[in-house]
Amino acid sequence: MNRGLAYSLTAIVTGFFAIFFLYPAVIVLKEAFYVKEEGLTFGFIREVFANPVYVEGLWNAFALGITSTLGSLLIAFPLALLGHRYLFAFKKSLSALILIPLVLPPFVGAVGVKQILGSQGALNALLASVGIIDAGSPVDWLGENRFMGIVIMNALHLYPILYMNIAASLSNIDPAMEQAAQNLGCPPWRRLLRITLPLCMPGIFAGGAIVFIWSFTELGVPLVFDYTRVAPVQVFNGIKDLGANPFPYALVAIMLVISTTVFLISKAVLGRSKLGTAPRPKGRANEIRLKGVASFAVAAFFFAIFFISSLPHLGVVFLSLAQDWYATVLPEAWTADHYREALGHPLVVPSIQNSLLYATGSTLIDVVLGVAIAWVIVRSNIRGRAILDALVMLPLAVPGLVLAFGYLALSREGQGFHWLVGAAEDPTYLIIIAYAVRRLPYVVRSAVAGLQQSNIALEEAAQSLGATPARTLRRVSLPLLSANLIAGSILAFAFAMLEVSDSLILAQQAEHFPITKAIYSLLGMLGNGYELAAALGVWAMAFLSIAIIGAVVLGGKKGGLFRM
Amino acid sequence: MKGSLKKYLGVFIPLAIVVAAPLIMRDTVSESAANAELRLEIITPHNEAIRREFGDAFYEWYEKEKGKSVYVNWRTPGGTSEIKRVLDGAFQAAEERGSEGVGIDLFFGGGEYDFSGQAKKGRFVELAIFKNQAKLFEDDIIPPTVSGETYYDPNKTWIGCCLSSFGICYNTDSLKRRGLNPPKSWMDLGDPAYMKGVALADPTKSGSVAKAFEMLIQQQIHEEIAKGGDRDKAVSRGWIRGLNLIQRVTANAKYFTDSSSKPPRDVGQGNAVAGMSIDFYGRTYNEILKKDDGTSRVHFVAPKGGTSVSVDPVAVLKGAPNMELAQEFVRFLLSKEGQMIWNARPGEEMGPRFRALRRLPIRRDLYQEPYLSMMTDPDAMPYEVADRFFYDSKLTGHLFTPLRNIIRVMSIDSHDEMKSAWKALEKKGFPEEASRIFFDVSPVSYEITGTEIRSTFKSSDKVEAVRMTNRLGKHFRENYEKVERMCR
Repeated sequence: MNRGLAYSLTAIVTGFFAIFFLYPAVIVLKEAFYVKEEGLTFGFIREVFANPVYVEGLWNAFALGITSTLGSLLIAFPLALLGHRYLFAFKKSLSALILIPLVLPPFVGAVGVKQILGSQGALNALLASVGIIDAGSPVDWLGENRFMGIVIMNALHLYPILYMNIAASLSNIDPAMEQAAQNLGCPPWRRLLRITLPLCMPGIFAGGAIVFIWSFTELGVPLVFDYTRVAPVQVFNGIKDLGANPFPYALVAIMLVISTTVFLISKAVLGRSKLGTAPRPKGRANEIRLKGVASFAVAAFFFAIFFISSLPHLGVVFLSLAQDWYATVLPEAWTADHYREALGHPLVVPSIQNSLLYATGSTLIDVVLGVAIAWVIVRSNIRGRAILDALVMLPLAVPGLVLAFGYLALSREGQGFHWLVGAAEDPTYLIIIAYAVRRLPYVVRSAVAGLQQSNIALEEAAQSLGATPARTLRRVSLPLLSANLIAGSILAFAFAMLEVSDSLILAQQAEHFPITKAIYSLLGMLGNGYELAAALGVWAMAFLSIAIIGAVVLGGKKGGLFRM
Repeated sequence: MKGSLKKYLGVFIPLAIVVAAPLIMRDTVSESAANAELRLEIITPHNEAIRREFGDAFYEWYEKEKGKSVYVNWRTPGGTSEIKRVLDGAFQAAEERGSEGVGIDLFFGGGEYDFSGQAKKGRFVELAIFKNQAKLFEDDIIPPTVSGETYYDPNKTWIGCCLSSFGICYNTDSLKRRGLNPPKSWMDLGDPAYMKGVALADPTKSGSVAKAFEMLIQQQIHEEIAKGGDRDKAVSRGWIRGLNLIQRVTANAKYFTDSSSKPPRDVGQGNAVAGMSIDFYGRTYNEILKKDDGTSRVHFVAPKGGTSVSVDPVAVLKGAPNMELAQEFVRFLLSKEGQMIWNARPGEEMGPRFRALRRLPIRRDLYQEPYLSMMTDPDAMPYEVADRFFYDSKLTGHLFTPLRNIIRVMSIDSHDEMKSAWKALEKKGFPEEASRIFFDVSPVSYEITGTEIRSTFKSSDKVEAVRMTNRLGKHFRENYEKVERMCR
C-alpha cells in the first residue's frame, strides 16, 4: 500500500475517532481522575480495588464475557460449518432465520423473557400442565442460577455475530486447501482442526472480540436476572445515583483497560490465520448435498437453535396480542387493540423516519471508515496500526450512557460540537455520528477479517497492470471484501436501529425521537404500556427481520456469504 | 432475470407493507410545530400520556384565552437524574458564555427534592401566579406544607401540580401460595415469609423513594417517643428500629429499581409477591386486571401511618425564552381545567382526551362535588391520607443524604450477602447472637450519622466520602457473612 495514502487515511480516521470518541469519553471520564482541590487523583481507582464488591463485580463481568463468548462459539461454529459444507433441507430459509435473534427490541425484550421464564410465566405453566412441577410452587427460573442464565441468554442473543463472521471467513477459504488435505488422507476431524479452523481464525477472532466486549459490558440481561454484582450494572446504578458519584467513571476506566488488554492478547494469539492468506476460492464444489435423515437432522438443528433463541421474541409477540397473559402457556384472550393504539400514536411515524435516517447514515459512515481503517491495519506497515486497531474496539466497551453524556456536554452552545446541532438544537448529525462511532467496530472487524483472507497478490496484479488505487479498491478489493462488509453492515444497521443510550439522552424532542425512544415512551403509559411497547417492538422486529433477510438474499448473491 | 425480480419483490413487498402499516393507522395530530404561532419549551420526566394530554389541552386553553396557537415542545432526556444532568450542564455552559437562560422555559414534573436542588442554585424565577392569584395559596386550596411535605417553595419559585404517595401493591394469588394475609404496613413486608418476593424502588436514585424510606424511620421514631422517657434516647432507639425495619424489608427484596412501573408490573405478573408502588400505578393495575366478577389479583394499600403525600412541581427557568407564555402555562396547570385533567375520566367535560392519567390534583377545593363525581379515583382523598401522618423535619431532614448512602451500603451494595444471611437466619429460627450481629447498625447510629457521616458527605472531599462508604460497606458485608457462617 502506498505509504503516503496510508498515512493520510490513518490521520483522517484517527482524527475522526479522536474527536468523536476519545474527546467526549475523556470529558466524562475525567470525573474519575480529577478533583477540584487536588487536581489529578487515582484515589477513586484505588478505592474501586479496595472494595471487594466492585472487585467481584469486575471479575463476574469478565467471567460472563469469557463464558458467553465460548457459549456463542459453541452455537455459531457448528452452524457456520454445517452451512458451509452441506446442502440440506430448507437451507436458504434457515440460514436467514438464525440471524433473527439479532433483532430483539430493547426494553420489551426483557419483558418477553419474563413472560416466558417468570414465576407465573409460560414455561412454568407448561411444566405444570404436563405434571412436571406443582403449580403451587413454581420454579424461579430467573432467580436461581443467575450466572448460567445470563450466559445462556447472551449466547443465544449474540451467536449471530460470530456466525456471520465465521461464515464469511469460511466462504473465503479455498476449497482446494481442504480437498488437498482430504486427498492426502487426512481424516475429517483432523482436517477441521488443522486446516479449516486455523484458516477461519480471523473470522472467529473478529466475532469473538465483539461478543466478548459486548457481554463483558452487557447491562440489560443482568438486569433482567436482577444480577447486580457485575460491573456494568454497578456503573449504571452509580451514574443514576442522586449524589454525583465519581465511582462509576473509575469503574468504566478500569473496564476500558481490561477490554483493551483482552483484545490485544487475544489478537496476538488468535487474530491471524497461521496458514497465511490463501488465494480466493475458485469454486464451491465442496458443498455436499445431504439426503434423507441427515438432511433433516441438520435442518432440525438449525431450527432448534432458531426456535430456542427466538423465545424472547415470541414472548414479545404474544404480549403485544394479549389481553392478559398470566400463569398460562398462551394468553387467555387475544386483541389487536395494542397495535391500533401503538402504531396509531403520533410519535410513531416520525420516529420510523428518524431511525431510518440515523441508521442508514451511520452505517454508510461505518462502511467508509471501516474499510479505510481495515486497510491501514491489514495492508499498511505503518507503526502504531495495532494501537489504532485496539482503539476502534473501545466504543463497544464504553457504556452508552457515558458517551451520550459526553456528546450532550459538548453539544451545548459555546462548546465544541455545537455546530453539529445548530441553533435549532437538531441532533440529527450528532446522533448519526454517535451511532456510527459506537457501531464502527462491527464493520472494522468484518473488513479486517476479509482483508486478511483476501490475497494481496490480486490487488498487486491489478496495480501492476496500471489500475489506480481507487480502481483497484472498487474493482478488486471491495468485491473480495463484500461478504464481510455485508455481514458488518447488517450488524451496524440492525444495532443502530435498536440503539438505546444515545437515543434516550440526545433525542430530547419528540420530532427527533428514533423508534427506540418511541418504544420507551409507550412503555411509560399507564396500564397497558408494556403491551403497547411490545406492539411497536414487534413492528421493529418485523422491519429489521425483512431488512436483514433481504440483505442476505439480495446481497448474498454477490458476496457469496450466504449462498442462495 | 425473472428470478432476481421475484427476489426483489419478495423483499420489497413485505417491507412496504410493514412500513405502510403505521402510516395508515396514524392518528391525526392536533397541532404541529410548523403551524403554531408560539412555541413553549418544557423539560419533563412525565410520561407520554401526560405530555400529550397537557400539550393538547394547553393548546386549546390558550387559543380560547388569547386566540393564538401554541406548540409545546417537550424535551425528555429521561428521568430526573438525566434532567438534572442536562440542566447542570446547560446552566454551566450558559454561565461560561455569559448568558442567563438555557433555551428552555419550564421544568415540569419530578419531585420536591429535584426542585429544591435547582431552586437553591438559583435557576428558577418567581412564579407570577403567587402575586396574581394569591387566593389560591390559602390552606383550603393549596397549603404550603402537609404533614412535613412542602407543596410550594417558600420563595415562590416552584409549585406542586399534582399529588402522589408510595404504598404497597400485592398479588393475592402469590400471598395465598405463601399463606400470607394482605400486608397493611411496611412492617408486614419485613416478615421473612416474603423472602425474595418484594419488589422495591431504589432510594439512591429517586428523592421521592428516599423520602418514603425516611418516613418509615420517622414512624418508628414517633412510636418510641410516644412511649415516653428521655426524648433523645427515644429518637436514637427509633432510628435504630427504623434501620432494622429497612434491613428486614430489603432482605426480602428481589431487586431495587429506578423504574416506577416495574414493581407493580412484576406484582401483577406474579414475579413478586408485593412491591413498593406509587399510588396511581397500584390503582391502575388493580382496575385493569379486574375480572368479570369484580375481583382483581392486584391490590393497592396505603400503609398504615407510614406514608406521605408529595407533589410533582412545575417551575419557570431563569432566562426562559418565552417567559410570559411559561407563566401562562403555570396559570393553566393550576386552573380548575388544568387540574381536572389529572384525574377526570376521559370524555368528561374537563377530562383528558385520550387516556385517564389517574394522578391527583393538588387543589384541595376539587375534592368535592361536582368535581369528585368526574374523577376516576374519588375515594383516593390524598389530603385525608396525608393528615394521618406527622413528619418532623428536625428529626431526620438533615440526614436525608446520609440515609440514602446508609441504605446503599447496608442493603443494596451488600444485597447478595444480606439475602444469604437472612435466609440462613430464618432457617435456624433467628438465633439470638446471629440476629444481634445481623441487625448491628452501631456504626450508623443516630449520633454518628448526624455528626461524622453527615459532615463527610457535606465536605468536598469526595475521595474521603468514597473511603467511608467502603468502610461502612465492609462492616455490613462482613457481619452478614459471619451470620451465614454461624447459621450453617
